[in-house]
Amino acid sequence: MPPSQTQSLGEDHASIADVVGIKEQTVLQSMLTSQAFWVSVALLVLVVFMSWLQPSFGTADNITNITRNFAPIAIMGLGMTVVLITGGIDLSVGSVMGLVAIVAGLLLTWHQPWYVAFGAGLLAGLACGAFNGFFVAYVGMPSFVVTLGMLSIARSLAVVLSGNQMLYQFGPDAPIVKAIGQAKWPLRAPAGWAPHWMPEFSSHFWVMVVLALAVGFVFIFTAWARHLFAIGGNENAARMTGVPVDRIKFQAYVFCAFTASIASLLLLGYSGSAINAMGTGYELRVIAGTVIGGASLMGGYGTAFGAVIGSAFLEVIRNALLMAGIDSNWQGAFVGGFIILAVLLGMQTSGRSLKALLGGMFALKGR
Amino acid sequence: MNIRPGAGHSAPGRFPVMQATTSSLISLGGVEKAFGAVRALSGVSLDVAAGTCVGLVGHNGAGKSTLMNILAGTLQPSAGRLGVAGEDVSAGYGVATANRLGVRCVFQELSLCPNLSVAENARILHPSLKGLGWRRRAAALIGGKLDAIFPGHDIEPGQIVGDLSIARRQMVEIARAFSATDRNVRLVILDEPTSSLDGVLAAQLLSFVRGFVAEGGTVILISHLLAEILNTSDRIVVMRDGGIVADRPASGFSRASLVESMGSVAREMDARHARTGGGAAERRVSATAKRQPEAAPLIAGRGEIVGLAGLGGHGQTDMLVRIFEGARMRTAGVTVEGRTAIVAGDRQTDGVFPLWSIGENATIASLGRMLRGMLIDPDAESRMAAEWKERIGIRTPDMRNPILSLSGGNQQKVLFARALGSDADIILMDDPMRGVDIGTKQEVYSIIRREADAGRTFLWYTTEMDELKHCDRVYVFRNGGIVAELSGDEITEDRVLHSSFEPAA
Repeated sequence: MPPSQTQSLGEDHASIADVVGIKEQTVLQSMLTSQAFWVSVALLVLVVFMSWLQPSFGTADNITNITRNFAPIAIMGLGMTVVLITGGIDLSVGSVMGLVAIVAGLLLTWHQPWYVAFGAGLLAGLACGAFNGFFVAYVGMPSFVVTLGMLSIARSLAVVLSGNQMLYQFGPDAPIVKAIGQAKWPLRAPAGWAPHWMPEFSSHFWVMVVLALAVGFVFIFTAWARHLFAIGGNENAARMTGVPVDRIKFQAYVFCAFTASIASLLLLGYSGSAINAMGTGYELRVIAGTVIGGASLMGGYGTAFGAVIGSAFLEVIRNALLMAGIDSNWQGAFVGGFIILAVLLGMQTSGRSLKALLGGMFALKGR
Repeated sequence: MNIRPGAGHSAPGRFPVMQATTSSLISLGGVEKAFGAVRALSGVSLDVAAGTCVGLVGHNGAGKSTLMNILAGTLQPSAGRLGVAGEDVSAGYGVATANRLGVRCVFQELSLCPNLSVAENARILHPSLKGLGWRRRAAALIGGKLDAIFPGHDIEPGQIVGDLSIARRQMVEIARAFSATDRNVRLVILDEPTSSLDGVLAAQLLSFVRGFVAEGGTVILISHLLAEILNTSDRIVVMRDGGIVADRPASGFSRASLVESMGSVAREMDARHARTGGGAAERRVSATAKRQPEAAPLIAGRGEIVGLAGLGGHGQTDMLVRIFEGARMRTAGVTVEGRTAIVAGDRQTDGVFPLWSIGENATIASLGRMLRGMLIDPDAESRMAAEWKERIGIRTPDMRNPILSLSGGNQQKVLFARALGSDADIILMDDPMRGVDIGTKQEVYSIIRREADAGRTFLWYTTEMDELKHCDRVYVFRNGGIVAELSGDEITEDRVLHSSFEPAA
């Protein structure tokens, strides 16, 4: 047989194998290559193990606690994911929380209605986001620098506006504000219908659920999101394809600040007071949660589910360490270790196999 | 890594003894280089004697730069023999060996570190400038060389390279290449050295080159300015399609014979389609080059394929981007009637979304047509993907596979599908066939012709002469402006080449 013929036969054969192989992969791949999936598995294992080890972990009350604790982080994680997808980062979310809480808190102490206070807080947050978005998208500055600046500016404004005082005398609408932040559903007997084993999920949790569903829906089905992902995947190509890159980047930072504002108002209501230090250091928890959930710091990839599951994972670890009676000072070490581990596993799923990674390590050792 | 034992920073006495029997400084035998399926060099043999200046000319993609990169050690040949100064260095030749043997190269893309000073950049090439006061000695070295080559220059050795103009950076780069410490200079390769220098500086450089050669040095000079080549070189080598097609003393060439030997003299002409309408067609694009706002604009009408020709980087891509932007916002000198889409030539940086599937890459420019309310209709999207898989022959079992699973040529087809499948009336193509195999090219050519006949307008920048034959009209670019407009049978390699080079001095 002439060599050319052999070759073409070989190619035909290979292409058939490819078809079969790839068809099989697409079903499994979408699950197995997703970092969020593996984090969910790890979360499930952790929850089952902790419930067995420490009966008080699995109680309805503790689950109410955990879900309320991570919900604000996950809400901000959704906004952060949008920014990360463009290839940017937003370091200012924690400080924006502080500013929003103080602006809303001030108006409440001036006896304004709760919706005016919340509206003003939201506007302050959106203004911060617009500032970030303008300098990143239209001026072309690095997002790290702009939002690092905003981290400092917003916190400073919060301190100045509050006169460095805690604000808690909220006037006539104080009960409404508290109700918003402390509401639960479903309620257990005697106040409600829910059985005793069911957790009473906080308003924070439900806001997170609604926002996550909305963001997930937008990510999957809208042209806006396709453009958003295009920017992170290849900004030059996106421009050349006619994607309105600058406008969408701007919107991403405004949305991120919006989520920080929502989280801030929920926490304001929950505590019934506004302190200018609210959200200090939260930017790192938010980024850690989204990255554990699989969002790429290089841009172009991230999911709503990942933002939620990553934040949940961090909180469950924190809670589990407390429940297991481990010195709380160890938390940082565990959380840090899991950030690195999650991203290492993420590298495996996105092309480089773990085997190759380990091979690389051994090669380094051998030198 | 490529340094042989004992050769690294050894004293001159440990150099291998030079063979006095050969007078060739450089001796290449059957050098081949392939990038994937593309053969950049197909068996080049070249001897360069010490004390000569060799001019190297050829059209874009002829293989000049690849050959010089191999000499400089930045590329490894796929096959062939490489000898420098009588030493066979075929195995393990690299930049370090090249430096040790005194081979220096001034590349087209400048290779200075912009964050360091002029003197510090000189130090990088000369490890022997060390110990206390190295900065002063490096400054003296580079300053002296600058004085020798470009008398009257006003570059301070302490200046940061990033603060210098492009011309001055070029001057520093050239001076550094000619500087010698314990590391001698034997061969300097100058790749388009005068491209950013004005006439006075260029003349200074070329007279220095003559002097350097007279003292026994060797220079390989690449230039698209044929007068420079003819006046400076002792000998001229012409490359075409990865091989040497002419190699004679410079006195044996005239400007005309040089141009002729660069192009293919005997080639079959495609039968040109009979064009209907011609210039009378409905006008869609009118754009002047930024550098010459007063000159006649580039015009393109409905159903026309208009070529942008000339040497690479002479303003063709800028023109395409100008038209692309002109369709979106008011731009002086540009009027565009209709929607535009670009087919990027540099797939990796300007075209492909690497994380996406083939289908998503093809449909991104057409999402507006597939909306139901605010949402993308997934059926419409997969229909478009399937349609273009058929129409343009994308070789994949499933358009949901990742784009990176495709070969380069097929990725390029996806980019064509993206542009052709959009609702754009005007398709801008930025040398889109780079690295695409001949079969794919033929398929795409026929699609372009079909689409043009259906009324679309194509603006096609290409550096390949054969592709210009598919154009109805061609604008030749030089130095950021349009210097010639050719149509129909006027589009010949000779005409394009003659217009691409400066008028004979």
